[in-house]
Order: sequence, then C-alpha cells, then structure tokens
Amino acid sequence: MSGPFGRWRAAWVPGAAAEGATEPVLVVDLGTSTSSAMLVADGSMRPVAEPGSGLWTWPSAVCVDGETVLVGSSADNRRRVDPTAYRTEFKRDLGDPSPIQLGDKSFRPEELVTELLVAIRAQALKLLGRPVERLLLTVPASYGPADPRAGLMIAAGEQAGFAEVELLPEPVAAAYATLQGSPFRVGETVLVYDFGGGTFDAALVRIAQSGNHEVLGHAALDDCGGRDVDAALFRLIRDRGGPTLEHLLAQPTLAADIRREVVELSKLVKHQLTDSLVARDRYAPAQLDVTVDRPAFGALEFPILERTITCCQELLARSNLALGQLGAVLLVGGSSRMPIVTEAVTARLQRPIRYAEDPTTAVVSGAARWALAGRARMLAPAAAPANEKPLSWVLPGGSATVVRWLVAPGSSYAAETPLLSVRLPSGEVLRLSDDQPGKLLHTRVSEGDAVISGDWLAMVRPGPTATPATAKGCDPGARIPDVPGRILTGSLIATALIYLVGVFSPAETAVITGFVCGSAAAAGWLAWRERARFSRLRVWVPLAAAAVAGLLVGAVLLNLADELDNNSRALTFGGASLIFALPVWLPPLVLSLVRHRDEITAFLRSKVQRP
Amino acid sequence: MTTHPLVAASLDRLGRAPALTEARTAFTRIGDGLAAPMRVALVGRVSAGKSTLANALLGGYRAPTGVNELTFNVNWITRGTEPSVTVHFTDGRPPERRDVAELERLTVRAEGDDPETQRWKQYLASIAYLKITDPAPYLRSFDLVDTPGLDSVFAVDSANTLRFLDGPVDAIVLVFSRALHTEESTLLRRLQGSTLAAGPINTIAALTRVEGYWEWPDVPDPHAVAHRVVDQAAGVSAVAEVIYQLVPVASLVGAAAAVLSEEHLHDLQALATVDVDTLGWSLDDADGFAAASLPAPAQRRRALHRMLHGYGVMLACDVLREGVTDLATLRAELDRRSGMAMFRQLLVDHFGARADLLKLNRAYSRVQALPDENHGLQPRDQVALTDAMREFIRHGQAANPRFRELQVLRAHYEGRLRDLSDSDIDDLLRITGERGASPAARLNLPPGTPVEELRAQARVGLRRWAELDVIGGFDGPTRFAVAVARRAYERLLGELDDVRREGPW
Repeated sequence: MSGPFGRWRAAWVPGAAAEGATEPVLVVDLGTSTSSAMLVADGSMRPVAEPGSGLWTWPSAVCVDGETVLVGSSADNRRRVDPTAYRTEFKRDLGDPSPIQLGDKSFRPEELVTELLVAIRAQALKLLGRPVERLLLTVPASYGPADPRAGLMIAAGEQAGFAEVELLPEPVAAAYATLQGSPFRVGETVLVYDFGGGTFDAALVRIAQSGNHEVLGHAALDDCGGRDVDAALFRLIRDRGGPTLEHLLAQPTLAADIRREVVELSKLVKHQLTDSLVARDRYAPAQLDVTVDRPAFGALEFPILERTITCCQELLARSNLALGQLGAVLLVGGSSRMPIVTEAVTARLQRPIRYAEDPTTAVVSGAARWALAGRARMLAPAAAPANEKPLSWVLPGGSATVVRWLVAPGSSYAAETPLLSVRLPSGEVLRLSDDQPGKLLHTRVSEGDAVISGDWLAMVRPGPTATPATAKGCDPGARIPDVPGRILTGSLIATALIYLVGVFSPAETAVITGFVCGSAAAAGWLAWRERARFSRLRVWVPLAAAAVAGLLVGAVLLNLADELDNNSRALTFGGASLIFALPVWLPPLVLSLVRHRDEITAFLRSKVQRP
Repeated sequence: MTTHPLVAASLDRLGRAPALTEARTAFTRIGDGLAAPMRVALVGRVSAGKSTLANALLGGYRAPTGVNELTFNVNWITRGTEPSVTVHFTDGRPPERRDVAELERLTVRAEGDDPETQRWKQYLASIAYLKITDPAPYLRSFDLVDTPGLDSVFAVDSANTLRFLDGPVDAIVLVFSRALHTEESTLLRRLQGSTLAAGPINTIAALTRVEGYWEWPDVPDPHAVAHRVVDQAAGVSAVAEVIYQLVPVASLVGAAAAVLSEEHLHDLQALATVDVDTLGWSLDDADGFAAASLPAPAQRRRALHRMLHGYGVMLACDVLREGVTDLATLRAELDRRSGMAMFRQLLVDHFGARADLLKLNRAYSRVQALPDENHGLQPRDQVALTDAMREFIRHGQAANPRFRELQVLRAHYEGRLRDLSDSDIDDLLRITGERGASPAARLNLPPGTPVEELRAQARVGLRRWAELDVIGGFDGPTRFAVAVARRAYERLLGELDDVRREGPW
C-alpha cells in the first residue's frame, strides 16, 4: 500500500495507541548534585528509591571502576578511593564539547546523564516488572527552545533506552506539586525559590489551568547552595574544636580525611537543626562533643542568602513585576527547609511563603502529578478551516527544489497564474499554478527547500469566482453589469425630473413617487446585499446617488423661492416621501462613499483624463 | 567579506525565506563583528578625561584635549601603518578621507556665525564617526573608541555615542574623575541591559586625574586618596555588578610622560636640585610656579606645570633625584608611577587576551535579542529562526568554561577565594591562562616540553583539584573555583589528546 496510510501502518503497533495515555512514565528530576525519580503507572505514583541507600534521593554522581560506571550512592562511596574517577555536578557541563576525564576514560557530559538515567530506569524496571518506555525529565527554565542543552537531555534519555522523552521546566513542575494548604489560584504569579545543594534557581511562574503554567522569567546563581551552610557550620565546629582537632587538621597525611569527616558531621548537624532547636553530635577522633543551637546557627553569617534575595529582586525588576504583584513565594529544594531561609525570605520579600508537601522532592512530585494528568493533554485533530484548501502538485520525477515564490502571501491571483517555480533534479525549472483563482494564505516551503510530489506547498482560499458564475465558465476577470445600480440611478433621476418639471397632479405625483422610491429602495437594498459581487457598484451607486441628492437639494431650494402652488405642494409631498425613504438609501450611500473614497477618486480622475 | 564559520550553520538554517531577511542580515553582521578586531570604547561624562586617557594609552598626543574637553565626535582609532583620518557620515554618504592635520578641527565644536563656520558646523553635524588609523603598537590588541561626554542621555552627542555603543563596541572603559555620579550608575544600568550586555567580562573603570588630589604638604601621595575613592565607588551596587576592576590613574602625568623632550629633562634636572619643600610649596599652580624664584626659565616652568601638573613635576624630580639621568628611563618611570603602565597592561590582559571571548559574549547577547527583533513571524519562519539560534548558541556554549574561568578570576581578585592556599591560587591562575595561554605555560613547564610530559603534568594537576573537589566544606566561590580548575585541566588534557592524535601543530 502506498501513500501516507501505508507508512503509518508500518509503524503502527497494536494496542500502542490505546495504551499511549496510560503507559507508565518514569519521572526524573535530574539535579546538579542530587536527583530523584517517581514512577507513574496505573493511575498512581510512587518514588523510585536509590538502591544503594534506600533513600528517595540519588546523588547525581558517577564513578568509573575499571570497565563499569558506578552511579548514585555506590559512586559516592568510592569517591575517597580515587577522586579522579569520581564526578558529580556534571549537569553544569552540558553543552561543553570538551570531554570529562574519569580515570583513564573520557565522557561527554550527556553520556554521564545517560548513565544515571540507565540506573534509574533499571530500578524502575524492578518496581514495575517491565521496562518503562516513557521518560519525563525536568530541566532548568534556562533550557529554552533555542538552547541546545534541551536537545542533549532528550538525546541522553533516548540513549538510556526510552522510546519517548518529554521535558518539563523545573519551576513549572514545582508549582504543580501538591502544596501544604490550598492550591495556587489560576492567574496567580508565583516566585519559585529553588535552593538546592550547589545551585540556586529563581523563576516567575504564572499559574494556568491544568498545569500549563507559563515561565515569565528565570535567573540562577551557579555558586550558591546548601553546601555554603555546611561550609559555615564546618568553620564553626573547626573553630570550637580545640587543640586536638587543630592538631589533627594540621597532619599532612590526615588533614584531607579529617576535614571530610568534619564536613560530614556539619551536614548531620545542619539536618538536626532543621527540625530541632539544638543539634548534638560527637566527633570521636578529636574527642569533640558538638552542640549547636539555633541562636548560634542564626548568628552565623550567610551572605549567600542575601545574594539569593538580590537575585530574586533583579528577576522581578527585569520582568517588570512589582513585589506586590507576586501571589506567593514557593520554597523548593532541600536547603530551603532550613528555618533561616524562611526567615530571610519572609523578612526581605514580605510575600506569603508556601511549601510543597515535601520541598525536597517538590519538582519530581509536581512533574509526576503533571504526568498523571497527561490524559488532559491529548490533542484532537483540528477541523480543516472552511474556505481553505491545500495546494499540492504531482512533480515529474517525484521531487524538486523550490526556486522562488512568484506570488506573495496575502495576495490574490487569477486562475493559471504561476505561483512558484521549482527546479527539477534535471535542472529544468517548472512553474506551478492553481487552476482556479484564489488568494495565497501562507506558504509551507521556502526557497531552497526540497519538495516531493503530494507535499502541501501552500494554503489558499479559492477566489470570488468559485461561485456558480465560474462554474458556467465566465471570465472571472470581467465585471458584471450592475443592474441594481442602474435601476437605482434611473429611479432617482426620474424622481428628480418629476419634481423639476412639475406637470403631474399631486395624486399622480404621489403614486409615481411611491413607485420610484419603492424601486429605488429595492435596488439599493439589493445593491447593498450583493455589493461584493458587483464591483462597479462601488463606484456607480454612490456617485449617482450623490448626484441625485444634489439635484434634489437644488430643486427644493428653487421651489422654496417660488410661490406655493400645486406643483409646490406636490413637490413638498414627494420630497417628504423621498425623505421618508431616507433610512433605506442613505446609510449604504454614506458607507460606500466612505469605504470606497479612494476608488471613487481614481475613477473620477480616469474619467476626467480620458478625453 | 566571507561568512564567519560561527554563523555559517545559522545562516544555513535560515534558508532564503523573505520574512527572515532581517535575521539573515543580523547573523551576517554578528559574523562580521566576530571577524573584526575587538573595539574598546572609553565612555564617561564631559571632562572625565577620556581623551587624555586615550592619549596616555597610545603614548602621544593624538586626540585633541582641552580644559573644556571639546571632543564631540566618536573617534574610532584603529591600527594602521600610516596615520589617516576618514570621516563616516550619518546620512549614508560614502566615507571621506581628510588630512590628518585636520583632526583637531574635525573633533572640536566650531564657534562663530560667519557663513564659512556655518557650513563647517553643518559638515560637522553630519559626521557619524571618525575612523583614525595610527601605527601605535598598543593598538595591536584592540581598537580604541574615544567618545564624547555623556552628560545628558538625551543630548545629540550622547545619543550618537549611545547608538555607537549599541552597535560595534565589544567592551568599555568607564572613565570618571573625582567621584562616581548617578549619571554613571544610570549609564551602567542602561549598558547592562543593552545588546552590549555590559558586565564584569567587558567593563573596566578608570578613575582619572589622580594628580588632582595632590596637595603639598598634606597629600604627598594622591594615589592613596584615589584608592579610597575607588573603594567607595566599588560599594555602589551598579559598579559592583557591572565593573570587573576599578583602577586609579594619574592620566595627565601618563599622557605627558610620552611627550617629554630633552629640554623638559634638562629643566626638570635643574628643578630636582631645589630643596623638596621649597619646590612643593611653589607647585600650587602654574602661575605661582612660573613666578617663583627657581632654576629654568619662567615660561618653560609654566609650560611644564601645565603639562605635568604639580604632582607630575614633583614625581619627575623624585625620579631624577633617585639617580635617573636619561629621558627614556624618566618617561618609563613616570608611566609606571602614574599607574598608566599597569592600566595599559590590565587592558591588554583583560580585554586583549580575551578578545574572542568578549566578541562572542557580545554576539551571544545579540543572538538572544533576535526573537524580540523579529516579532510576528509565521510559525515556519519562527522554527527556522529558533534552529538558527540554537546552532549559534551551541557554539557559544562551547565557550562557557572560559566565561566561568573569568568569573573565578574575578572572585580571586576580589579576595573571595579564602579557602584556597597560595599554591592552589597560583595553580588556578596558571591553568586558567593568566600566566600565558600555551599548554606549557598553563602547566608551569618550559616551552617545548614534549606532549607526553605535558599530559603527565596535567594529570597531576587534575588529581590535585579532584581531591579538593571531594573534600568539601568550602564556601560557594571556592567550590566553584575548584570545579572550574578541575575542568580547566580536563580541557587541557582534551587539547593535548587532540595534539597526540593529529600530530604536532
């Protein structure tokens, strides 16, 4: 079977279409330092836990071990063994063509993204019992349509074995997450404040129906995140550590390991402080009891918080939004759970603060909700627009290259007018035309494009002669005599003459006037209704009517100057009846005068110049 | 002009659709801009000392300078074998060569009402800019654009300048004297939002006329005062966000140093024999200096003061007292002590060495502005434009690591990389090319080191930063610097791999 239907059938898999909407989707928030994933299947969503740790979050880390690439926590656990074989934050390097060196191997950044996705997909397979073919990947708002990194992410997903990869901006996903409290109102503008481990992202999102939120603007800080808080706590613990810790940190062979351990301890202290007022821990090698309470923590200086606020303020200014136009600030990301962040944002931005049910996984769970509502995003085919037709040609040899368009979009053309020229593979140039007149609406190919037989090259609207007149084979270019126009003109002139001559009795005048006015009105109405078909009417009707109106005014003035006799009475009566008919003929007259003033001027000019 | 390789793919994507003619022109222009030498513009208020600075940079009197600073045309100074002046007009007339001797007349506002002057005024008003060629070796790194003062954003000359800054300029030096005014902040904000996308990558500021702070005997070292002014200015948010570095220069002394003659040397040597205090007190102003009973003829003393300012005379005498005897050394020493030598070096290092990056940065922001400039395209044309932009951005993003390196260098110069040791910093500066761009220089190895050895050394560096990367506990800027340094080593290894595959250059 040939033609498009044949090709469709070849690619058609039984059941795929019916299942498309309910097919399982793996949703992945691939973050700079940590990632998380959810599986959406059978109308519900569940987290895909990291196999090494059993936790929700996957470290976005890889480590090369011989021929294998370890991913997630197993990579993280190896980082001390060979730091040069370990890498995290490779997402930053997307789009950078120079390879990442791991051990004695080199990778493109997107290949490491693929490694991570392969591992998550494998874990999803265990949960589901069969492979997941669809991937929904959240990406930073900066990956716009013209950004090649969006394409790299899609390619990485396809490389990981997914048949279909969809992208969703991270702030849009976050704003779609289930919130603590009531959901956002449609139309509300929300500032998504995403404070991650190593990066900070801000985005302005306008809430729309069914999750099709719009990103109004975005900004990011590359060197600012929760790890700055770890660093501050590390310094605090180190300064309080006393001579033993100081001694340990001064050992050339041990310093790096000790430092790393104390940094790990700082992270634990930070986590404790998120929901308790005092954090306690112990660092045994230095016999150090660590106690940090919220006031001590709050006294630490966090210039990074100030930078995130400035970043938000600049984003608002750039987007021409006042703080007051902001409905709420949505805090997202693990680091935003810290009370100092809430305090700083509340104090400086003074807008209502909102949280997702779980801020750490807001992006992935929002995206999962979005995937779950996927059925709503199915698109039915549009009905073909009325009065429009696509143009296609059967090309000798089957293909050609467009040389140029000969008719500009928006212009009308007569039947058999060449619309475009194409060059056949042989080098011969052919002109392609429509066998009917019409108007070129838009072109679907540009100069230099390759086209094949049957391609739709343009959309046209069949022209005025697509009426019965054309069907009878009339020359569409010729104009039809404007019968109604002549009737109208004649009757108006007759009326005027009757008044001017004044030979009839009042009764006769009244009858004639009535008849003339009636026919004039009928002609006027007909002319108005059919004005598009009778192009010359545009000129004749208003001109004639204007001339007659002038004559009438003259007649009235003449008669007013005379004594009042029978004729005058007849005139008054007839005049009154004509005036009575005014609503019928005056509006079309004025309208057509105004509308066609250019044509009328041109017409008059041509009449004057002809002799 | 041939199509620049960076825009070739984009132009290809744009095809030949008539609706995309403007976009094609824009990409062609962007390509031309990438191929041309980088252009650095000196901008600032009237009397900020732009022309003096231009002269001091080029090492000689070229741009006319006066007490009232009358320059009102944009002067585009580019390197050429012969000095020449070409007038470019606003109305699209073909450019016109003029005699070099006419330069002053062309750049200074005409005064008078006679018909001749009126005609000349009209001619001057029709000038878009002057293209001046000059054999100064300094112009090897970039073209210099001297602009009229920007006192009111709405004045004609200012409008001319702003149009020029929106056009072919890649980097700017904000020139100011005494203190920063709101106008300068406003200008910076405006330039930040323009297609020039002023920012730390392409903007440096110079505090000129540092000699003005000199006062005997209270302020013997005007540079100390200048540094305080600079520190204060750096606190202004517009400055902190946009300007890479703020440098004070005694530009009058710097400009004068280049044109000192043997006669000047002779007079200064005579003056150097005078007691320092006597000399200091007499240097208050040119007339007083001429009237004082000192060696060297009064007229020549007056001229000397006008040229070098009190501080310059003092400085020159100091240098001579230290035992300098020849003119060349005196000039070089004045150039150094005025801060000009350092400033010139900063421009060459910061702008000159990164010309490609700056031009790319500029091109990048122009490409980003294309959707706004091409409203209402048909969907098909829109797709073609997006494809073309993506092609360009793909190339642009390849330069991202180098932009990040610049970000790290700035953090270092601002003293924000506190967690790194001195040797780490040293290594960071070297690998990011601050001490030379060749692989050997970046690895601190002698030139001509074999590739295998370079690779081994790069691996050592990579391990050093990879280890720092996993330790953690660093604050943001340091963490970022560690990642960037690691990446810089990786890039170098990639380059060396290419060399190994393809054989030596």
